[in-house]
Amino acid sequence: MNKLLQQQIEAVFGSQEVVPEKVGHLLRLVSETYDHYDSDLQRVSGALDLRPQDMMGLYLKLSKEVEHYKKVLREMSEDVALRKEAEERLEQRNQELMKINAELDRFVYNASHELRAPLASILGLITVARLRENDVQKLKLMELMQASVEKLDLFIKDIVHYARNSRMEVEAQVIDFDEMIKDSIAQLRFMGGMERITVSIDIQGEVEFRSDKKRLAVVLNNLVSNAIKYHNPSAEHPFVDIRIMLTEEEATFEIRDNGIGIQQAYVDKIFNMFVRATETQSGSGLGLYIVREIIEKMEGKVSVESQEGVGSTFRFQIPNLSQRRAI
Amino acid sequence: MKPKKFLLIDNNEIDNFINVTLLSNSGIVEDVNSVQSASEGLRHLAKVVDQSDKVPDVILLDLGMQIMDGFGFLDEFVKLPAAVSQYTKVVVLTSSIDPKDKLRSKSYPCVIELMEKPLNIDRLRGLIG
Repeated sequence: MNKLLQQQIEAVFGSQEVVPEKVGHLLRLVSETYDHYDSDLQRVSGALDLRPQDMMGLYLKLSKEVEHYKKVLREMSEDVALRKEAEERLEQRNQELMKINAELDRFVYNASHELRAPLASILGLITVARLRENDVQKLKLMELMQASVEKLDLFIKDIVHYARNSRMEVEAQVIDFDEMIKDSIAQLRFMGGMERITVSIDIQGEVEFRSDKKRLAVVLNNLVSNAIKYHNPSAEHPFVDIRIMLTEEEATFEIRDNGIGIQQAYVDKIFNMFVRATETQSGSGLGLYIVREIIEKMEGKVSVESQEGVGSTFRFQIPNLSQRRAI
Repeated sequence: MKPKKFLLIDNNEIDNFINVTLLSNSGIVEDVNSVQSASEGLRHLAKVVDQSDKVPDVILLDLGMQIMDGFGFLDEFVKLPAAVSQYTKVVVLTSSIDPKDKLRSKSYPCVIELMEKPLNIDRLRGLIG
């Protein structure tokens, strides 16, 4: 009788003698099965060269290995996730660079067009001048050449303003607004129609205001000269109202006119590069783009309200940098 | 070469003046009109579409115009009655050196060439002669 089975029978029946005869046969069969199981187990252990007490050690070792591989797997999937993220970032950067490249391309062609157009005009005018004998006619051609040269010069100046704004640090100088506006208007006194336009200046607030003098002058020159350039010649009283409100924190500017206004379709695009909202040739297409770039560089914001035939109002705020220095 | 009727579309007044002068001196012109915007150009064509003696033979078209550029003009031009759109030839005259502009201009069958400014009369004569 198998030893284990014997122990189990004794545990149940007290002794083997009381086991009924009929069950005895069954028990012998069960005993054989137990024996087979034991010998199988011995064979397996023998083959693995393991003793039962080794089993626990093996189990521990295996579970450690399982833990290790789980960790490796986890790290690998983290690696994969990281790599995927890096690949996505790379792809995004690539898209951005392609966009910048396309913009740069567009800029170069647009800028070259703006630079070549006045030169082509001058070349054309020279060809025309060769056909002319008359000095008075030649003088007229020279005036047109001068207009083309001035246009080219204006464009180059605008490009320089643009480049300077993107490179130079924002400075914090004390601003005399009255002087700045008057300077700006003095520069514009030869513009067409200026004598008919009433320009009013209203400055409120008595605080020391610091900002970037050069940048602010470019912004004001652009906005005021636009208001004058695009005045409505058929208006009875063309005006440009300049209002400045100063506080410890910021300056708010409003340049309002009753000029020709901006077509509705162009109001949202007016600050974009190379956008011109009039049909006939005018500025460089950079003026208001530079205005927005400069104001944003000074951490301010700019907006426009305009109605065709009624007028335009440009508003912008810039922070007072004396405040910031005190902090 | 039989003198031709020209329409110049350019928002630059100076360039229109130059081109009108050069054309008038060239001996290839029967009539020349100039307008300062694409929309004016379209209005001009709409006016003459029923008068075959006034439909231009050649349009000199600038590309870099505001509101509606040269391509905007061409998109409208091809929709005009055949008396104009099938008859009038367009020469693009621009200071752009963007190869994309050249390719795009050539995609319109009515555009026979893209020429760089300033206008070269001898080349133009060769193109339309």
